[in-house]
Parts: sequence; C-alpha cells; structure tokens
Amino acid sequence: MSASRFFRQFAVAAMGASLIVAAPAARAELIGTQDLTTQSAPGNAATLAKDRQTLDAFMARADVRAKLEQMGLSQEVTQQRLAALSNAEVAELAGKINSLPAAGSIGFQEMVIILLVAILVVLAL
Amino acid sequence: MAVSRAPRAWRSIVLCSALLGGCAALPPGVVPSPPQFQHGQLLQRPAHLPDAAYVAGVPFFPDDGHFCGPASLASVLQYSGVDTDPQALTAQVFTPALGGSLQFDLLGATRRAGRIAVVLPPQLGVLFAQVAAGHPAVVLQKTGLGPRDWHYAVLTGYDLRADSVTLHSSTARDLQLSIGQFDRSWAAGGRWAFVVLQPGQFPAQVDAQAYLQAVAALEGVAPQAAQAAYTAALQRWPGAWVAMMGLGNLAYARKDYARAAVHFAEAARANPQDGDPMNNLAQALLAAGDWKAAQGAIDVALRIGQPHPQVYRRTAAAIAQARDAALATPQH
Repeated sequence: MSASRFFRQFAVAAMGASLIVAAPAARAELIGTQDLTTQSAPGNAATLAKDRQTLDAFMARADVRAKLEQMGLSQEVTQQRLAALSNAEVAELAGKINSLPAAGSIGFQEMVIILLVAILVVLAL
Repeated sequence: MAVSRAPRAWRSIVLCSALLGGCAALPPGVVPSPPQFQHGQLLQRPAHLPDAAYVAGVPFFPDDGHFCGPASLASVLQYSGVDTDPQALTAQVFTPALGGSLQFDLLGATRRAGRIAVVLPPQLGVLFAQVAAGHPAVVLQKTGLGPRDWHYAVLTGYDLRADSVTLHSSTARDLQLSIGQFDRSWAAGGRWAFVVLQPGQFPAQVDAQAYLQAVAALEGVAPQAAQAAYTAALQRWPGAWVAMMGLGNLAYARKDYARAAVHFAEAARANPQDGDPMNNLAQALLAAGDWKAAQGAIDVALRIGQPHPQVYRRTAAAIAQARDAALATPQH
C-alpha cells in the first residue's frame, strides 16, 4: 500500500522534475528552444505535453511501477535520466509506448514492458 | 497492425552484448537496406571528402564483456577533453537488468558531461566526413545473428581506396573491416551514430538547425555549455535566430529577464515572420515587471499569429491580468 503510494509520488515527482528541467518556463508560456518551428524538427507544446502524459501514464501503471521497484531505481537516477532527454527523444519514447500491442502473449508483453522500463531508466537519466 | 509494428520497439532497444570476436563475425546475407558502398564507390559522397582519414590519439578502453557502451563513450568523451573513464560512466549508461547500455543513455550521459551529442544522418558519407573533420564517432553495430548481438564501437578511420574502416572495438584497438562489411553491420541498427562535440566545434555535413536542436537538449542539464555553444554558433551563422532564442531562454531560466529580453528582441529582428520571439520577449518583459512593454510585444506576436497562436493568447491573458492587478492597486 505504502509502496504503491510511494511509487505514485515518485512517478509524479520524476515527471514533474523532468518537465521543469526540460521546459523550464512551460508555465510562463515561454516557447522553448526545442519547440521552435524549424525545417528539421517541427514541434509544438501540445504534442510535447501529450508525449509527457503518455510517459506519465505509462510510469503510473501498476506493472511498470512494480518493475521499477524490482530494478531498485532511485528517484535521483530517474530524475537525472529524464532531465537529459530531448523533446524529440521523449516523443520517440512515447511513440514506442503507444505502439505496444494491446493484446498478445503475456510473455512478449512482459518482455516489452521490462525493456521499456529499462529505457525509461536510461532515458530518465 | 499493432503486432507488426512491435519490431520498431525492438530495434530501438539496443543492447550491447559485446561478443568476443563478435565484431568480425558479421551476419551473412541479409541486408536490411541498400548498401551505401558498392564496387569501390561511396554513394552520396560529400564534396571534398578525402579518400582516407584517421583520427590519431583517441583513447582506447578494451572491454571483453558487456561494457562496450561505457568503453566507447569514455573513449570519445575523453578525446573531447572530459575527465572520465568507463567505470565512472557505467553508473550513468549501463542497465544491469539488460546487460547492456541503451542509445539514449549514451546521449544523455554525453549531455551531462557538458558535451553536445549530435546524432548523424544515416549516411556512410556523412559518417566518414566526421572522421575527416577530426571527430571520432560512436557507431552501433549488429555483430551476430542473435537478437541481442548489438555492439558499440568507435570509428577512428576509413580508407576508400584500401576499402577499410578502423574501429576501437571490444578488445581490438585497431579493428579493420571492409567498408561493405562495416556498412552491413551498421545498417542493421538503422545506421545510428553520433559524435561528441565541445561548444565551438561543429559536425561536418550537418545543417545549422539540426545542430542547434542538439544544443537545445543541453539547456536543462548543462546550461553553461549550451550558452557557449549558442554563442559560438552565432559567430558561425550570424543569422541563426534559434541560437538567439536559446540564449534568451537560458537567460530567462536563470531569471536574468533583461538579458533575455535583449536576446528575444534580436531573434525577433532576425526572423520577423515568426511570432515566437515576440511571445518570449513579452514574457521576459512581463517577468521584469514591465507589463506595458509586454503588451506591445504580444500585440506584435498576435498580429503575426503563427506558429503558436494559442500560446500568444495565453501570454496576452497573463499580461492583461498583470495590468488589471497593477491598475486595481490604489496608489496610496
């Protein structure tokens, strides 16, 4: 019970920290350098927020939380890893989460979850 | 449909299981994408690419286990002047549960070391151009038939006439592969490679926008390095308004709103068709307490009206709020 509460808080704190670091002034409606419209990387704040939400929802899942717990992730490590991600990398990661098969052999899905959690660990640097 | 897309997830999940001698045992046959080197000819060869180049003095860290990620990263980071080693990097990039290091980890750790990680376009010619410009590149290879036979190595040289590339790879300081052999192993992972640059260094054959986006990812983790990189970029590309915006956002993040306003105003002059600089200028002025000037700036952004009109409207609402608050405060 308290573990689940911890992980919910942990996920929220981690995502909150990443948002603050990656988009320092999102609340002030400042347009971040990574969101500028450029020929190579069109981006917009709404998409980014959606991508971050996808990550957030993924990290809030019970099975994902359990995996994080098993991997003994510290909050610091997760925050650091998330903070070092570019918006494009967040988008790529969110895309992967969205492309997970909805159904399928449990073994495969389990494996994908483990690997995605590992990516988050890494990404979350 | 969903199932058929699953391999994308797999492809991106890159593990380094450094096999003993595995780097030379390339998968025969299957070539997932057209070869970029055929009959001694390099496809899309960049102009002025020399026939051969070699970067001397790139530190080498032999590894015969699962640590080719930290070893390869330490090699290029140390060459770039960062005081680090594979042991120090392992905690940042290695994922014990996977027995390897993921691509994103390498990029993140590069940024944390205050260096710009530039992922290259997937072209052999562009990769070789980095070496010719003196930048060793970390490359991802598939070194066997198994699903986990991924490997990171550092490309230090190539020779088109001799048909060879030179790599720091697992325990080999100067592993030589034929260009075709290397390209097959590299193509299997989507031809993924990156270079590690100091602020003031620039990748070969990479345009300003792609480079500045790589710098932008540094703002949160290494703001001083990002500042130096933007400043150097403006000397190279004086009209690079994205760099001006980056300097403004960095100044805003450290609450130097006056400085931020100067940079945003410069960006607005450099790119008057885009409303974003005026929006940020308005935000900086508002943060500095000058809602009147902020009002003027956001009016311009609203008139331009793109590319982020909803943001401009929210900024305008915040300014109106500040104005009302200021006017409601009685002067007694």
